[in-house]
Amino acid sequence: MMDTSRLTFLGPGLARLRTATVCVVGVGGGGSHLAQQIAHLGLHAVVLIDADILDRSNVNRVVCTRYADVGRLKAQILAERLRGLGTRLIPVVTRAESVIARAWIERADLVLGAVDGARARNNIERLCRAALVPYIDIGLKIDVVPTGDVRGVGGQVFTSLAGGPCMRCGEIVTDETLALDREEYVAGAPEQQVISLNGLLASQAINNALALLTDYAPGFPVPAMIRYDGLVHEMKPDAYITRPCPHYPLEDAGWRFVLPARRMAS
Amino acid sequence: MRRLVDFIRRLLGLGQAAAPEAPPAAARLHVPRSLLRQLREMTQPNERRPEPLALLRARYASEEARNVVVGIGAIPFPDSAYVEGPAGANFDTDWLVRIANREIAVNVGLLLVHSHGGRGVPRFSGIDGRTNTHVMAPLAIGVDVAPYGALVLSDTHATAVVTVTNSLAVAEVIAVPDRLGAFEASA
Repeated sequence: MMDTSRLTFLGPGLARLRTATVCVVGVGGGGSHLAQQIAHLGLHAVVLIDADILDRSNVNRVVCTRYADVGRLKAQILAERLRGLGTRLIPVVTRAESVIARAWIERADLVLGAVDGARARNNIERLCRAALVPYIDIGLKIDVVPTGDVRGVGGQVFTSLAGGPCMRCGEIVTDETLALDREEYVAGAPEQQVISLNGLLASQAINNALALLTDYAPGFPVPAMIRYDGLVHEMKPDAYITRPCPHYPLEDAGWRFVLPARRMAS
Repeated sequence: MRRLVDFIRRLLGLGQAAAPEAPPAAARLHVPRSLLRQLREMTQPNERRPEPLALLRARYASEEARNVVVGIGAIPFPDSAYVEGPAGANFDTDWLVRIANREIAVNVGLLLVHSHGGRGVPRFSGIDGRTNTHVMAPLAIGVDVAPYGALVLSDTHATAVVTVTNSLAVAEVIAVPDRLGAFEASA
């Protein structure tokens, strides 16, 4: 049984952690930090959804991995390394869009995402909005000019809740990013030393998750988007979103449409 | 390139995992916290009604997830929907059927909502159970695209039953954090 004495600031909401199931979608550079921190909190279960195999180039940023793990499945490595922390770890080695991953996401208390493409982000958010499951997404981007100078280090923690702004409202998901699909920390150079930057964003995401799961400070709502600027060392809420989300009205949540063809076939 | 390497590894059976564990089958009802607050306000006893009723509009989360139900709106009972009778609240089932027929056009099912007040986990009374079995569950007969059932509230907790494959199952009620009403509608 884990020692909970250091978590008392969470108040009665602490009991909610004991029964909560959280999905972490993508356990690479960002998601491994999310998985590590959330596992330490003593939840009922953490579901690690990732179909990827650990590559040698990943070890510099995927926490809890070693070079000896290269060639093994990331979700299984994380589940193995994070055992014994008072949280049940369930590796689900499949893509987020698969039937089994969707089934876990739809019945989660919260979903954390650290995926490397706008399409994947969009799919997870759509699933979460339909099932009314809170979704927290982290993303990091480094802008390097051809001379090698760093022009920007930017990231965000996006918290997508029913009735609130979505990632389209926040312009994280746009037609352009959907067309690009896969994102890299630096275009054309994926092997980046970003462990510290990912750790920052993941810690903020877990703070948001704690606030949502335990409601320990109800007078202080979780901002929809928190932006990180690594060049000026600043992380602050983005206040520009001031209207309800037109993309995911509550009225459209759940299974909305019956496909005529399927109805005829049944 | 990495995707190609992953693909070849999978083709060769390297790094493969056993079939993933399936999630539990127990039913869940996800309701935004602000909608739960609205339902509590609607079902507070008042001078005219000792036990006001409401309906929770609900859908299955997805075609596959028929054991996860999402609450998307509330319908108050108009005065004309109440009738005289022996229970705390007696209602016109013809009105209920009319609402059910209207809502099913957009895949929406209905949960009958009332409040027992107080603190702690509320339980359905014997008469509640009979209403759930004989009035709410039959609404699902021949309708497998939307959930039906009931929700009983206390001031702190909630208990629900929903139709899963045409029979009522107890559903864990999850009060989901939301931002409904947090933003002013734009002109």
